[in-house]
Amino acid sequence: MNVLIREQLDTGSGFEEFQDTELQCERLDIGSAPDQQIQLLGRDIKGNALQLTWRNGKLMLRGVGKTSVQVNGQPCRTAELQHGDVIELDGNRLTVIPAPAGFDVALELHRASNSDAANFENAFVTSLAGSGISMRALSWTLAAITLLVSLLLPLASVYWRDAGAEPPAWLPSDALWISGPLHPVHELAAGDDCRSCHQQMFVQVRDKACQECHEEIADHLSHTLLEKHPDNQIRCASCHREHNEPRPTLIIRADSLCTDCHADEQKMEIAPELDIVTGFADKAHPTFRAHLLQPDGVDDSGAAAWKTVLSKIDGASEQSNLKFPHDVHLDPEKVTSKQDDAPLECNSCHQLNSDREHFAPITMERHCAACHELTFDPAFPERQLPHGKPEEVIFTLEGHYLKRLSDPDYKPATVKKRRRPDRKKKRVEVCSEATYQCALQKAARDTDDQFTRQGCVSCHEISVYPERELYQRYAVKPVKLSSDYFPSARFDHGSHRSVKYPDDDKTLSGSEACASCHDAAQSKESSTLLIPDVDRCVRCHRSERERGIVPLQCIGCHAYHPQPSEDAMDPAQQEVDE
Amino acid sequence: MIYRNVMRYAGGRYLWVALLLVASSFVLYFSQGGVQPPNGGTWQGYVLGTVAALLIVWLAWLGIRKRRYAGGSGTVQGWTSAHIYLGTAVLLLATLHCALQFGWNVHTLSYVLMCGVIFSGFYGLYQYLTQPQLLARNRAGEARAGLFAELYDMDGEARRLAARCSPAVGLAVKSGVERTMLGGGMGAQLLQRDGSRFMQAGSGEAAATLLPNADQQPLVDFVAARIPRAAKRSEARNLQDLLAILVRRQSLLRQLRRDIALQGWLRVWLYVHVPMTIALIVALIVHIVTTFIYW
Amino acid sequence: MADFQIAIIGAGPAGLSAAARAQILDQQNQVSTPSYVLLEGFEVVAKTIQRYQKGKKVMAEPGFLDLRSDVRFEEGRREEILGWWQGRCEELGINIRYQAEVSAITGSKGAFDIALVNGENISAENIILGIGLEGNPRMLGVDGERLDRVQYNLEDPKAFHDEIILVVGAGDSAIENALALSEQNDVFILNRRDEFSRAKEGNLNLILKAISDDGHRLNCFYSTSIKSVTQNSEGKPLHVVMKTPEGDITMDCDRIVARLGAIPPRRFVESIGIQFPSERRDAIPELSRHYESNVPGVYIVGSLAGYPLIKQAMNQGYDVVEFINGNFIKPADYPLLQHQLLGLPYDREVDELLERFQALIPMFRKLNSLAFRELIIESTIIAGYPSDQVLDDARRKINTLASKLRAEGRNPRMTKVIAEGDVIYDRGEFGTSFFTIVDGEVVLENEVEGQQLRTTLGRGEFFGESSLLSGRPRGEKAIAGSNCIVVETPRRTMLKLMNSNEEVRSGIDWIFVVRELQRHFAPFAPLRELRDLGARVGTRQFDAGATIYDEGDEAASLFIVRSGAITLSRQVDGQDVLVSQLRSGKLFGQMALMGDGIRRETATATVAAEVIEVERAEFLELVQRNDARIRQLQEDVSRQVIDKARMSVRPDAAGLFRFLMRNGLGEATNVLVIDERLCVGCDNCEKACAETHEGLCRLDRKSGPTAVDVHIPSACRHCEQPHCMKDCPPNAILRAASGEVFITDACIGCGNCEKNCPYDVIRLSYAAPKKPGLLSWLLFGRGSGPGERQGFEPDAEAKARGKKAVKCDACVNVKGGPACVRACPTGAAKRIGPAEFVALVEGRMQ
Repeated sequence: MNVLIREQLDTGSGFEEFQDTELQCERLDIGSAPDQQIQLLGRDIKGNALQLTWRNGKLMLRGVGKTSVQVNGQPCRTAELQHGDVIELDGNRLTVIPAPAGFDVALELHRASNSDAANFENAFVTSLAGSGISMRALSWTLAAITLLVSLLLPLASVYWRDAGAEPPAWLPSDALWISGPLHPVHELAAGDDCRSCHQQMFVQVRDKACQECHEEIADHLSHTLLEKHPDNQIRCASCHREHNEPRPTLIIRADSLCTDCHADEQKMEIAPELDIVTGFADKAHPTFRAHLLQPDGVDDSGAAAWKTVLSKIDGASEQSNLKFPHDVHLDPEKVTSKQDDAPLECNSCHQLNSDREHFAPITMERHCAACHELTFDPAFPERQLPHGKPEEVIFTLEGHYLKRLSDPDYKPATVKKRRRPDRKKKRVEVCSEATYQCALQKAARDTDDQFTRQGCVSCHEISVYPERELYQRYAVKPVKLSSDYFPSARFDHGSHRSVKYPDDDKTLSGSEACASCHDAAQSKESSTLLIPDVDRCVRCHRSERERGIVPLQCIGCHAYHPQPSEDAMDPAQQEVDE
Repeated sequence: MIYRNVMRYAGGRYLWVALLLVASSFVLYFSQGGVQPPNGGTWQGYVLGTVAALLIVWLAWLGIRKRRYAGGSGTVQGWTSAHIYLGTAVLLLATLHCALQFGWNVHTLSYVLMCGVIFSGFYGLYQYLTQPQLLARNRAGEARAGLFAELYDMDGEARRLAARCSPAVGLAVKSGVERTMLGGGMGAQLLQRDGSRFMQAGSGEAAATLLPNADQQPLVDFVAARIPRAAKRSEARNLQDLLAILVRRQSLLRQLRRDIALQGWLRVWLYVHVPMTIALIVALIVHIVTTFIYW
Repeated sequence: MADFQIAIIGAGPAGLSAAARAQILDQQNQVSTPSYVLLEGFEVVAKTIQRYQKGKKVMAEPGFLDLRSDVRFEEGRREEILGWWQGRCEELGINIRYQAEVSAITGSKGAFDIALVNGENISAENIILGIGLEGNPRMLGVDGERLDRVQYNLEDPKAFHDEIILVVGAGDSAIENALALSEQNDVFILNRRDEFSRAKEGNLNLILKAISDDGHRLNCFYSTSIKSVTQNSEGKPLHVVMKTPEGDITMDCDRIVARLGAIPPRRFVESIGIQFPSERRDAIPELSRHYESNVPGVYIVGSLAGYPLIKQAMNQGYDVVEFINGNFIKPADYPLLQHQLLGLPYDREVDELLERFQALIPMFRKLNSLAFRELIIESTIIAGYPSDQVLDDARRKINTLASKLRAEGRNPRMTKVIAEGDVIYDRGEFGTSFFTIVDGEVVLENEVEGQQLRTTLGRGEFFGESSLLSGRPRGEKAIAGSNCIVVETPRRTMLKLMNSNEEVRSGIDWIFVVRELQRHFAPFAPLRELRDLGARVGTRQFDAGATIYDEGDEAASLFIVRSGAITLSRQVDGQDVLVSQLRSGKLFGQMALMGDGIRRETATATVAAEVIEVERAEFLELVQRNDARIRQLQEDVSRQVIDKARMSVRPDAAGLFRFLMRNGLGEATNVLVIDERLCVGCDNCEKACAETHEGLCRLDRKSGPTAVDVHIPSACRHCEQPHCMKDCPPNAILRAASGEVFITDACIGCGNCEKNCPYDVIRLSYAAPKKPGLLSWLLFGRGSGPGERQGFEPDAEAKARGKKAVKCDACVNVKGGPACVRACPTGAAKRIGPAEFVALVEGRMQ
């Protein structure tokens, strides 16, 4: 449209003076910005406040935004303008006047006299506060977005999923709340389903959630105890911490987790048999109590029964029904290896299991038989008595002598025997009875010999019932060696194969290392317990970090969960004859 | 500087407070030991986190405290000094609290927002320490109102002289004066963008056009170009006078624009600092709540 | 026989009240023709109050004084009060004659002849002058000067637009009116001379600029006066003939505003034969107890008699008429005096006591009894008793009456009963009242170089004059001695008295000089030994900027600053370098007497100053005394020499110092100074000020001068001698003991302090509306934020209460100190006192 703008000038001369400006534009913009066709300054005038358009011979006025414009004194937002209409904007007056030839629209402009210098500054936006960006609005927006994205939407997705539906992928999920990576196994099992463990909001993860997978894990405390003493509640998560970084470490190793209870006399009232432990150090840890086996008559089936007794190391004695003087065997003067005539080492007999804690069972066949042959007839050195089957010993002897005496080539033995100086001269065997009878007598004599004087009796405890007939007369007491004195503690023999004590310069290894704890060389009786007490451990290990000390935490030896035994037998027992 | 600035308030008292806080936090952090890796979930982590969160709330309270003119203990300068030092300490405290464990989660969001707040604060501090001198130098002892008053006088003078010139010059100068832009939006204020225009009368039948007039140079050039072509002596003199006014106006406008920009830079960081603080507080609440939603 | 028994001139509050009394007496006496006439030069009553702005609240101070008048008056809006008065006039049928301006009064008691401007003559037996102090505006002095459209004041320049207006005059009011009118009208200013010599500099610049600016609708005729004004029958209503250097020209206009100043009433009053005690402008004529002047039969009431408050004036009008009619009634202030004297150990009538008191005090003996009465009313009477039963009895008596009166809603000033040995004031207190001993003793305690000095003052002596004159804090401690009776007079009353009574003035001046000499030269000398000397030492006054002596002068005198401040500067490389700034109580120029007799620096008065000059003879007499303080004097001189030398080699610091002084910090005691290099422009100082002061900010950070990074915003400096306190009718401006000058609620919004403040830091404002809580703004942007209330719309209640003066009170009652300083986040704003100025300019502020 072609516009004529006739501006009344304020000359102060009293005459009316006008300045004409011709404009050609699509739309006439009026506002305080400098690019407006009609620029009006004023505090309340926006950059673009009014728009005038010429359409179909009509002049239309439109206020932009919240502009308060007055047409002929009436506030309005849009209007169709006629000749003579007066538009007022913050003191500025625009009058629509008849357009001269060649123009579509003519306007007469009378500016508000901004003779006030103080108002002049207000026409410009010179502070950030006036720039239209509100710190408050910005704050609210940012706060709302934060709240929405990080809390409300994930919450919505949780309820969505709880309702059984799959929330849309774009919806922020509760994965945003994760505080660290899961243990890979758990991650594999649970995926991103937080609710599989965090089953109830604002409630700590319950053991039930763990036990859904870990069904057979044994409890440290029995349920009956827990029910009686609810204060002693321990959660899985007390020790197992998920979402840990940098490595997903599930187990918390702090001693305090144990000593919280075990050092607390009140809490330990539920297990009065246990000593108070405050840590691992002198006096902090009670002296060890070994699990010792004791024969306990016979059980219902008639087999020998054993019971386990707890005994302090100091003054404990074992009853294994086996005679074994360690000192003799470790004395190179007395015993050497049959193969290379070398002195015996500890590991000649005691071989460490792959668990590095326990030792392979000692068996007659593997460990004793090489030296202790069960020969009985010097004339037949290749003949040996069967081990472990006392009644067969009699049959074997009887059979042997029957066969020998019935041999026509029989002649009394002339083999020189080693004689012991303290023994009386051997009785001369004379038999005048029938061969059969003689053989039986000989066998009976030898049997008696084996069970009461030499042979079996040198290693085993024998019960003799003279009143019984021969076959029932001798009973070898059952032998049982303890395989684990401390079933609820672990000890790594493997890493102790060589040791160096803090107060000693030398590094010990081999049997010397063994002997530094187990004083076998002085042990005459097999009943002597060779297990060292806690004072031996604390020479090197304490729970506190110290110089020259290897720190040791409770779980270095003790497991929290009782280990399930594989054969449901008492783990401390081992049948020797297996 | 005739007085002590915030950094040296009370002999840097709060620097020592902050250092003490940081030192004890490090002790606490390392007491977590090897038993369990340092983490926000250990008791030390909880302590660090609680202290940091309380500090953040306290730091944000400055916004209230500085508006509690009647009540409130201490001086705002003291609070600001403490705000700066303890705000910096919070950065370390929170880092120790999270033990440098980050991820795409709300917890790291809080951390990131906190960093945004603190680093924008550092920028603001830098501005506060350096900008006032530039401002004072730019204004050269004059208040902004004084500069505007002078500009107002110049505008009147320019209009008066323009009225005596030819209609073309008159229109150009008058429109140039009227369409001078100062300030405006945030960008225009900070970057001193100048969207000024002036109107050039069309020749013959053509309508007038609006031409850009950035820094007033085009208008100055326009008037200067007319001086040698002036038909009369009086016209030339008028134009000369006009030019002098326009140049003076130009330098005044530069001074004002720089003043507006400097004032703007002095404030604009608050547009990051404050909204982020509010968002941080929300994020902090979310952080704490979500920690306990999935306990 | 005269026309009237009483002619009352001026229908102000006093005149109205007098006329109403006379009318009622006439009615009682059933006189048919009025025995009195009320003459008013204007066309309505109470011209001064008419000129108040619309809706202005008029206060009824002093609250403790009862109104005794037949005309209603109480606190109210201008319109209300004018309504009551006008209404009462008509209701009583008061014999008032408007437009009756008196041109001359001749004759004597019983037969005064009053000539009116319109040529009439009236005779009267007695005259009551109630014409006030404002005077009548000077008229154009030509025909047509009283036409409707010729006006002599301008209430609202916005009321006219697009008129052609002639403004006549070249003073400030003419310029201000012309500038204001020219915003909407075509204005011509007529100046009788060829320049605007009487105007203030700011106005001068504005008017010259406006005249030369084509864009401004203002033009000027120089050396032009109006010859005649006539009314036009058509076209512009006024036709004016002007006399110009180029001959007469004529002009048609809508309106003439003549601002030719006022004719002060004094000349008129003197023309009747009434004497003024001094030439001072604010001197008050001497009056008897019944307001009768030295011309018998002429009574003066109201502000011309020295009573600026409406209620006082109305009481006087009543009393005077009663007196003229032979009724010797007790004045309205009688009960006030009774209460004030109640606690004294005498059982006498008030009048008798007053007479006795006046006789006891030599300085007041020559005072007229009315002035003395006024002095006592405005003073506090302090009675000291030995601490025993009598003291308790006196206290009980006072308390009983006080609580009884309080129950009636009255709170009059009572005798202040203290025990012997009580401290009247302590060293360092800010107090400007003046104490006169009527009876008993007062002990002044001072400390000089660690030595206690005790001076005992007796009957008729006075103390506290040092603070009264210099505005400095008290320099000594005053302790009540045995059976003392002391009159404590506020500064304003004392100054009024000093201005009108030469005896009082010289007496106080003299003792001030003597005490200063004693303090500086011979602190251990008994006062009486110095009295003669004191009489020989003179004081000199200097206007701001005046030179006291020049560098290089030969001289033989030293000076003590009595009030104001003195700048000492030196010429260094052709430049003035400020070396020192001295304030009241300080010595300068000693070098002339203790050195080589040549002035080493130039001394100028920073602000209007008064100095005591000690010549060589007196100086020698003083320092040759056995108890002279000569060593101390020498040490002071040495130290000053070092300080001055240091300042003269640091021109930057000196330049800054001069900047401070030039901006009036010389008389400041506590000024807000902003470090521009720390100020981030957050305006927290202003917001804090507004928020701690009922929403009204009392400082303007942005305005005010700046130099070398030091910015002095427009804020009160708490001047040593506050200009604002000079003329406060209700005595609402007080100074705290710690120095802060503040305005109390007693403010009546008269605007005197605003006018008197040279630093533009006082303004009149309505009370701001209540604000919503901070949080609702902070969170939701509801209501205005802290300090964001410039240009608020006062609510009806605030409007009804009227505008009150508002200024910085240095947060006198706020714990923790000034809010502006406490709220500054960067430490850029600090309030400092003169002691810190040197540290400030040398950049050693902490």
